[in-house]
Amino acid sequence: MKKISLKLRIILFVFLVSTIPLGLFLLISIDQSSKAMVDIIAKRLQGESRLVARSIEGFITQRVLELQVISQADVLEQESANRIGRYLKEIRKEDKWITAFYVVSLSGRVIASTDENLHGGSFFDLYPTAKELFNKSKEAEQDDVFISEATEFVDGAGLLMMTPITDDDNIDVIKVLVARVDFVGIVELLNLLDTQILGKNKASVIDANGAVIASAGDVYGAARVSQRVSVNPKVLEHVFSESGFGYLFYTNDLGDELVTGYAALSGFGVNKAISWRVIESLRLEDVTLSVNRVRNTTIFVGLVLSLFSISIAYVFSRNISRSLREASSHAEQIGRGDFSRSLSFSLGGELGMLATAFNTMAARLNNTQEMLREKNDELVLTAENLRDREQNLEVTLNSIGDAVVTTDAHGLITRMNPVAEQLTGWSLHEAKGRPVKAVMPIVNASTREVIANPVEKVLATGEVVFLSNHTTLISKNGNEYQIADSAAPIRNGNDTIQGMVLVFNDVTESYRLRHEKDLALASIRLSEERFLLVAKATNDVIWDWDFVSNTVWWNDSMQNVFGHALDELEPGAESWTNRIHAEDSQRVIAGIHRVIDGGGYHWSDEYRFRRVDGSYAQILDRGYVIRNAKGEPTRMIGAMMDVSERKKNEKELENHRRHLQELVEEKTHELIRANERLQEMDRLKSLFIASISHELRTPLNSIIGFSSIMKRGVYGELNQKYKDYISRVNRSGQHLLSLVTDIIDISKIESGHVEVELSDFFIDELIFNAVEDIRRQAEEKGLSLSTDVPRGILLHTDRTRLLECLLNFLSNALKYSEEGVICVTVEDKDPDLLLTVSDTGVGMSEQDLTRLFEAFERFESHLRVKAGGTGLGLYLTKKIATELLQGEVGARSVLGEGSAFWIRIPKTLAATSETGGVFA
Amino acid sequence: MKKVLIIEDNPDNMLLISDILELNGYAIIRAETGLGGLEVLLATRPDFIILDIQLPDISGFEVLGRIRANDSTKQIPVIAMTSYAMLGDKERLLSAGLDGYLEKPIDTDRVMDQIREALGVAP
Repeated sequence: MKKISLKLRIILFVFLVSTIPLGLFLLISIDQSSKAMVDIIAKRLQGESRLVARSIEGFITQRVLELQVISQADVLEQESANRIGRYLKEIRKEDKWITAFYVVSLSGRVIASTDENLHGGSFFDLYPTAKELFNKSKEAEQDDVFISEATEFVDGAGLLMMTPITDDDNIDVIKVLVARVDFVGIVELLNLLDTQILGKNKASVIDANGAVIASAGDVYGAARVSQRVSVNPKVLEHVFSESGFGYLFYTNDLGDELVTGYAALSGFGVNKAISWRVIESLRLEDVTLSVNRVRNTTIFVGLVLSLFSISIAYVFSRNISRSLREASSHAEQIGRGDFSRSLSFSLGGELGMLATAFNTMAARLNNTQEMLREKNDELVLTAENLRDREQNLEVTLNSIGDAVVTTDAHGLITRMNPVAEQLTGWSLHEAKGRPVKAVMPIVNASTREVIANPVEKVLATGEVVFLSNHTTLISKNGNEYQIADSAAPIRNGNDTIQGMVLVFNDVTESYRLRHEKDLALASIRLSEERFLLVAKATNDVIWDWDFVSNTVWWNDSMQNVFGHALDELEPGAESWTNRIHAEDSQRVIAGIHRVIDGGGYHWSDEYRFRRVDGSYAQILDRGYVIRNAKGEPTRMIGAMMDVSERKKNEKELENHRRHLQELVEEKTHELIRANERLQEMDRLKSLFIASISHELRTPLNSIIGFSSIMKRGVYGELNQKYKDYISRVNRSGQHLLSLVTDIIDISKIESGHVEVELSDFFIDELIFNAVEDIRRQAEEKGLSLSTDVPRGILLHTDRTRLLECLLNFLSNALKYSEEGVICVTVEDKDPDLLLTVSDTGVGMSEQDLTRLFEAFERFESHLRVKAGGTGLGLYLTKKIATELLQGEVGARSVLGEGSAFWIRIPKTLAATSETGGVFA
Repeated sequence: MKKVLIIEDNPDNMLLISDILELNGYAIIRAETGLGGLEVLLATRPDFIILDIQLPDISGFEVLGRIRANDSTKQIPVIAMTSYAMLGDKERLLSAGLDGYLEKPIDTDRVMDQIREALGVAP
């Protein structure tokens, strides 16, 4: 009964503390994260809607600005439909999102359009709903732009934008300029913005009637306004009741719960026409679906875990109760005095059974303990006696000033007093039982040879032994002590040697003192000798001034340096003071006395000192004051150094340095001026080249023009020879023209007179056009063309310039290939684009490759003569690629196998501020 | 026979373009200055005008402005002849109200097509 209840209790406990809280925790946290996820998605939808709304606003604003600019072109004021039409077509090329332009007379006739078939027709036949807006535009002022509501056209849907065209004085409206913008552009924009979240939602633009105007991914987005899907009325009401942005939750007719983010678009044009909203919706089910998947997995794992822990609890509880039963039966055996089996005890709760068994055992143990206590009392008495004797000996040894070490009969240490401990560096505790020679190694003080320890001798002979005076003890920590020692045997009652006592003391200090005195005497003798030698050898004038006797000793240099014979000098300090320059004298003497009387030691000064010929030397003098024990000055020694020469050198050096600095400054100025002149000249050069090249085109007009008419024999047949000549003139003229064109381009780039014209275009379209351009020429030469271009890579850079580079590569490939294939490859190297033109032509050597992109470097080849070309093509290409398109160019080639030219440019060219005016 | 007024100061260019037009059956009226050109214009009423933009007295743009300002001449098509070849020049010429332009040096093989296109006549 009890066994079962324990197991149950443990299992119940495990269930209560682990499984239930775990389950609760999981349910709560899943619920929370699901809510948080929905919240994030809602905010995200709202943010995306705002982004889309701002982009569409930008899209429309750009067209408004364009219309304002275009409406002011002079040509629009004129009446020629052809002229206006041609202009409209030209500007239409610049903006692909404008489907058509119309210039409409005040009576509603189409004067001109991008489609000349419409010239003269009625504008309202085309756009019947535009009448009201058109009438407003007629009344408006220059720069007013009107925008229609979303309008369905015969061939699509979009907006009409209108602005008045005014007369010369910009007052009277004479015509109206209309631009049609289709919603295809807005759909494209939505696709570009890629607003997908969880791969589901898409952005839509809706109007106040709830019609979807454009929707991301809507391929036929421009079809019909009336056929559009309509928006849920709940959403419509909510998003149009506010003018900002936000999000809402709602349930649609199918019972799906949805979340929708929205943002308003501001009205456009003077009539504030557009009242649109951008919405993005997502079914909540799509959000919660992923969360639910996580929840199911988590609950399953939780169930498995709690089942596992309950099983463990079951096994565990069964083991515990079994151990407890065994333990109690063992305890009973011990109580009976049966120690044959040992007891292994486990934790458990059923202690009641154990208690009685242990009571029996305690009674038996009690008897045994009583006997043991009596034996112990006897032993304690014996130990106390021994300890007293030991203490007596200890005190004696500790109070002796000498070091004492005792050993047993084997020379192993039995005892050391504190002095011995200190000198050997070993504590008694460490040294006990070790041989003496290990604890106190001794060497000969001067020879450092190891000396045999006296211990063995004493133990062997039983005699007392003394050591010599020159003995050094090396202590454990490396200190060395001079010691004097003696050793004697210890005998027991039977007169046998049972140990030895070694007594020694530290004589280090007395030994050191004696040794140092010897050394000091020798050193003094050496110093004196050295001083005298130095005094003789040096060029410095050394002096020794005894204050007590007021005598000055000079060395020979006094004569060598200054010319004063030693025996003619005054005996005292006058020998010095009398020769100091009158102007320095007072300062120098005052200075030296300040040091001597002020308790200082070091003095130095610079002054002039008279030579025997009456001239003065520049002197650096340094001295040292010697004082007795009481600090009184007794003597001063010093040296005078003649620094006249050094002084002179320093001055010259300073002059040189200053001169050099002036020179450098002067040269720097010259360089700056030269650099400025060069920059100016470089600018003039570019200007000059540009204008001379420009002028060259006029005579070329005659050369090329007349020669080509002549070649055809228009005014009478030429003979063969003349025909040949004139063909040559014509060809040379053409060549000169291409040279001039290239030079103009290069100098424009070099002088910064180039505007980069940015536009968006697809690379596959550009390459298709370029390849088509040269297809005829290639086929005439029997070359085939191939392209490997991924579709749909959008570039934002200068289309014309890139095309120029590509055409240049292609024309080179054509020129230098006689057979085979010309291949154009494009690789997306995000953020760059790599475009390669390879051919199977003559190729070139390593050497040629390195000079390839320099001016006038057409490489040598047997085809060269036939090739023609200006030699500037690749140079120009490099200029364009690096300086305008911010990229790089290069080539690789194998002689005889072909070449590959590549250009690598950023797909999106950052607009630069460095744009000069258009050069004309 | 259709009449063309050519306003061009350089005699070589004048000879070249007038010969080409003559060969194609046009009657040529010549003027070497802008003001001279405007003068003969009123007297001769040509079918179209070929106008050099760089003239010694007044600029081609000025000549164009005066042609357009006069009711009796504003309908006459004007084709510019220029060695301007910079980016944006084409747009600039067309926005000033020219009907077309020929770039110097002219391409003798294509020049007639270019003129017909500018006049809006089928080639």
